[in-house]
Amino acid sequence: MMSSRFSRRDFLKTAGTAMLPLLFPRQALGLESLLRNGKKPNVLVIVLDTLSAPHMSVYGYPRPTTPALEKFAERSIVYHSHYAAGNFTTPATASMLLGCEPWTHRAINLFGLARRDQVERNLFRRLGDSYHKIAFTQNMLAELLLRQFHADIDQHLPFTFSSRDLTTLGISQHLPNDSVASFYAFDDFLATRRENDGPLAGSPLLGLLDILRKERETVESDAYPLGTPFNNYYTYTNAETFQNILQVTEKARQGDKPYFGYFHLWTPHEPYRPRAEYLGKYKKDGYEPVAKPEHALTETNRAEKNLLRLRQTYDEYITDVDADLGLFLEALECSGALDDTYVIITSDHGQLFERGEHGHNTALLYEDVLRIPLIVSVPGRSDRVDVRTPTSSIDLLPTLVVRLLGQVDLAYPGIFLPGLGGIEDWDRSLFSMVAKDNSAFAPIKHASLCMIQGTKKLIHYAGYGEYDGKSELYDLADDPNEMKDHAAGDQATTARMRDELLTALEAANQEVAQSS
Amino acid sequence: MNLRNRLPSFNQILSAYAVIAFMLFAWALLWFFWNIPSWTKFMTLGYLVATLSYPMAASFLESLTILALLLIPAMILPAAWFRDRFAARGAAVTLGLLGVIMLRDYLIVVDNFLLKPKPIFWLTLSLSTALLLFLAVKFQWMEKALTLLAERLTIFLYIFVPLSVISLLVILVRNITL
Repeated sequence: MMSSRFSRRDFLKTAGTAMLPLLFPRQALGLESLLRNGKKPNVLVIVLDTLSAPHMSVYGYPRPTTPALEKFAERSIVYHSHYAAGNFTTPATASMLLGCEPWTHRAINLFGLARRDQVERNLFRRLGDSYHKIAFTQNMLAELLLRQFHADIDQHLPFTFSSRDLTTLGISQHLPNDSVASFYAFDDFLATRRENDGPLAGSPLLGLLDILRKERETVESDAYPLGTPFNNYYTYTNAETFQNILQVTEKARQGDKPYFGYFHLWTPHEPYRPRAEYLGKYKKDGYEPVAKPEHALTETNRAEKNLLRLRQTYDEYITDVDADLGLFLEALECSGALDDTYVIITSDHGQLFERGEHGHNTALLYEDVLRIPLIVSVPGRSDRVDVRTPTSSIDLLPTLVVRLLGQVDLAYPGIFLPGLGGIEDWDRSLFSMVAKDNSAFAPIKHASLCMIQGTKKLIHYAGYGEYDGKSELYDLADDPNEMKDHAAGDQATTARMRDELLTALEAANQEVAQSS
Repeated sequence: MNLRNRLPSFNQILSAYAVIAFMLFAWALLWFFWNIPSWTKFMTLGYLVATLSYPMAASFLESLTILALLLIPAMILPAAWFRDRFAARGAAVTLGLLGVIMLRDYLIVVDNFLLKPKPIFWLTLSLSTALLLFLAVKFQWMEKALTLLAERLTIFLYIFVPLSVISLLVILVRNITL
């Protein structure tokens, strides 16, 4: 039901929809001809896990990490300030697929789930019967969410689709009717262990079998000197994965209905395993990222030298992935798929190599872990559009709903992406957060929260002992590396943004309390 | 002699089974409860109960498998070697096998201690089991102690077996009707 209060955001959404015909010029011949024939375009979403936009040359990174995407960008809409709503897979992916912030859907913990009353808002269900919906992921955290949405997905490809050597038993995928509970029971408890971190395998015998299988993971080869790409459950190669996706999508294109395909790959998540021809590519290339002081909430406490080495391998792995992605995109073009398919390249979150931190499941919310790529190819469109206003991963769902179904859904807090029907709004506030240690059922009080408004970025820490209540304020236009904290110098902006952030959080906390 | 006569007595089997079941159920429950603080952050009580049903059922099936593996040599080997005093000898083998696997699992976590390479692990497993079995055969006090332990543990079967049956039903319902 539409709210009686018509907000500024709602106005922008409605205005954006009204302007759709004006915003799409005639050169979008593929889409125009599709619509003229009463056909809907296909949608192919490729999520590359842990791909940080600041590490991509298509966004200005000095290392030439993404030449193929640079080429693809020439015919696409490129979002330069696209932000993940969370800094690790569970909250970030749930936000993308549910179209709301983590404080609403509450998939905030590692291996966490979305609130039951939020599940029905998922993108697959929202697209209804007019689309053949395909989903696949190599990331178990995302797979858990897809299993929550399983009833709304027409073709939920197995987690092991496109796998090589299985290193775990993967029992839960054989119990499709109870795949979530059986995952926690078998794959997260009875038959597996997280070495150094516990817990133990709940079943000594299944755990023993699991140990025996795990050794396959370390296999190295001439092609992969650091080992074959590995997602903690099985080995795979990116080339094979893209080839398999191509086969599935080409088959789907021949179907009666248009398809919506969500393919969430593990790559370039650690362990970084570039092929031999990319390994060492950036060694001694002269690039020196800005050294940043260690943060009080850093969890990994890595030395700068160590971070530089990890960054180098990560960049090499991105370059490797980009090469395979480029071949995949070329194949799409050759098959004519780009004339009838939206191709969306994005990520769930980025990766940090700074302030002593390596990784993403951290209390820190700096640009490298939050800013992700979003590159959208519109069917038949051949020109490049650059969108520089901040956008969020929660915007994808309402944008697709309006583009594919022609419906405006004010129930979702996101906006229509500029360039795809929306209006550029520099005053809009975007939110990201991490609250992995907070109960999903309780008010969020232990979290790192981030608000972006225009070029201003506020990071606020709540519930971190001595760091509780501290805020950092950055101006991304002048200081993209977030080196100069203005929180003390610009107290008025800090207080205003913090108030808005905490008010939004409080509203979400109250909504969750009322609904439960 | 028919097959049934080659089996140990029901009470002996029950006592040996009690040792197997106790070790597996206690281990599963212990580490299940270890997980609970993190799971309760996002799992409802219903989900937690559903999740618990899997380890309970798995422990039950696993315990029956191990019992079957013990009964095979009891039937094949000369009675004096293993079938006689099955409760004590079965308990010795169970403690040796499961004990070493559990110890290994525990040491991995507390001390990142790895029994590598694999042959060393298998050797430790075999020697420990053989040693316990030898002690149970050679020394009467050991045999008595193991028999006593096995008999005492049968009380837990009144909890574990009904729990397993309920768990199997829960799993059946969730996987058929959902």
